[in-house]
Amino acid sequence: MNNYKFKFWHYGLVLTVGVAALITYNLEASDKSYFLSGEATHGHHQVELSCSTCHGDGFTGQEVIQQACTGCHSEELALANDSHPRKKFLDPRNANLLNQLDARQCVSCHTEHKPEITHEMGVTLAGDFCVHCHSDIAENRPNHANFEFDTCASAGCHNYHDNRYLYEGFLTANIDAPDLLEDGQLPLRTLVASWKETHPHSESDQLASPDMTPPSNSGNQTTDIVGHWRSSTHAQTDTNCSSCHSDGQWQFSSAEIVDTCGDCHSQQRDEFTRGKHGLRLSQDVPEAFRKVSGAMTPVEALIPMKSSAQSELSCISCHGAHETDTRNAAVDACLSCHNDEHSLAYRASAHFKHWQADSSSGVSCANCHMPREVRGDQVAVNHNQNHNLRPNEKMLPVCLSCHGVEFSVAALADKQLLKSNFNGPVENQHETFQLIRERIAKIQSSK
Amino acid sequence: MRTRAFILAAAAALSGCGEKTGIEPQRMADAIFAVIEADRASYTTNVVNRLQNEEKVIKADEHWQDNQALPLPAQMMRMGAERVAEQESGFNYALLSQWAINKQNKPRTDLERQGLAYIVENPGQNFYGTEKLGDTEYFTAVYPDVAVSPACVSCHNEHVDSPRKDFELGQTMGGVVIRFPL
Repeated sequence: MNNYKFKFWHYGLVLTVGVAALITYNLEASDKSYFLSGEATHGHHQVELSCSTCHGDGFTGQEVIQQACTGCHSEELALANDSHPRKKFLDPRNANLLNQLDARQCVSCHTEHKPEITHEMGVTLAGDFCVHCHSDIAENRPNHANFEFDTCASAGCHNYHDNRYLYEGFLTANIDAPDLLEDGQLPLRTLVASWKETHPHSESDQLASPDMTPPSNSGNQTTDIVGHWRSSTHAQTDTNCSSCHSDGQWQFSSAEIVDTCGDCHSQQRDEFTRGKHGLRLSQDVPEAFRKVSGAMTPVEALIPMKSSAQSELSCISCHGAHETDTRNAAVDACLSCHNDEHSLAYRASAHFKHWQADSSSGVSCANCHMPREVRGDQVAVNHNQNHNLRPNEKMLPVCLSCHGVEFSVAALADKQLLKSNFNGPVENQHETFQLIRERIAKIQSSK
Repeated sequence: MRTRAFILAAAAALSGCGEKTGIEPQRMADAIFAVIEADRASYTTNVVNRLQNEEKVIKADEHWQDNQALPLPAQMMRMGAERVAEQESGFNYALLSQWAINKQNKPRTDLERQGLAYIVENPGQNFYGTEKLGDTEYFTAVYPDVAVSPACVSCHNEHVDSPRKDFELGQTMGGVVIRFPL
């Protein structure tokens, strides 16, 4: 047998085939991480390897990416009464402005996979982007003449999208409210009360006996499980073992837990899967990705988390499987994972001390980050904890339950107070209110 | 002979298929303006002026959602214009004025400035022209927007940001601009 002599190009061929096989495997059978052109923003970090969610089949154009943006975010933007909706820029008279900044496309301001130029709110433009269209603002508002254009959207005065609580009329109407309202209180939740109203002939107000027997290998846990369930809201609302373990299934994946809870709590499921906690389980994410990635684990987050927080997130991460303890879910569950300065400072804050003494007058983590919202004649908790997080003026409706608007805007704009979890006095006045007072005086003098 | 005649007739008929037939841009713009103006005048007179100024049932307010009020007539028209733009209907329209309260609604192109000045100086007449915006040539028509009810006059004359406060009923306060790409 002759010894075959490998030539240089043979090595090249083998290397090329090997690299091609590795890349193809990563693309078709693995997590596609070789194709990530740069780390995604915090908003898309959870689904950055679900490429087709934004890019379609990979050969689609700008239009598909824009549709992907609006597919997930249009509802939120409509709710925010978006100040710069795409439809405002479709008039041809804006052609010259669009040449400078094409505001019809989300990616004009929010380019993904560019961590080196990504600022707050995932914006990838220089901070003075407002100047492109509003360079003449001082003509209409002379008191804005000395302001820099990079302060419009960074000083707590204006937001690009959501100005529901920052517009002149709202601030003018509420400017006289005291720092702390005398009878301030968060709205009371109505979920259980409304269930009881719609089920007046329920068999009992308090179920006592489980309708299934847990598997024999549960051991001593069975007593705990039944005890937890018996003292839970579920037992008060005709929700027995078989309501969740309907097919005799005793173990659930995170996705199955969210689906099972969502059978009754569909609004909460939809909100949970829009936020970072549950985004990987969203119906907007391809099924194949959901299966491969599983749910998010806290340690994968971009913000500091406790190293012990390794379990996948689902409804029971905060509520427990059988306890449904909302008080635990409102503080302890959060602090069992979150390890950033703001979270660690919470237990020293006045908000916590009041909450610990009386939950109706204090403020838990959930009270701010999962706000109670009035929806018709109901008050429900929004389970998307990112809903009012950025820009933080979106949190004003919560603050205004107990505080005046001037105090609240100043507090939210104070970065040091945010870090200390508002554990200190609000010392600085917000300049916005000086301008509002000048405006009120101008309106009164013009009458 | 009969076959040749048939071929000639068919060729003549088919040659006509390639010709553009339809309504002239000016006539189309006039028709669209008639609809816009009728809706606008009806809303201003029969809804806003009646409910706010005469029967005092509900106010019209810029922040109509928060204040549970009626949208201002100009906002109502802009909502329609934005819906039309979103549907890519082949034309756009806007309500502009040299004395706009919202400065975004002041004239921005040379033709808009020219057209608005013309309709103010020539009451009852329209202005037509063409202009290039971006890479596209447009037919642009400007129609007078007249104060049809006391609500128009009182609101603009009393608003702190209004650059003109001596409007009278029946005066041209601005213009409706309609555009078609050519």
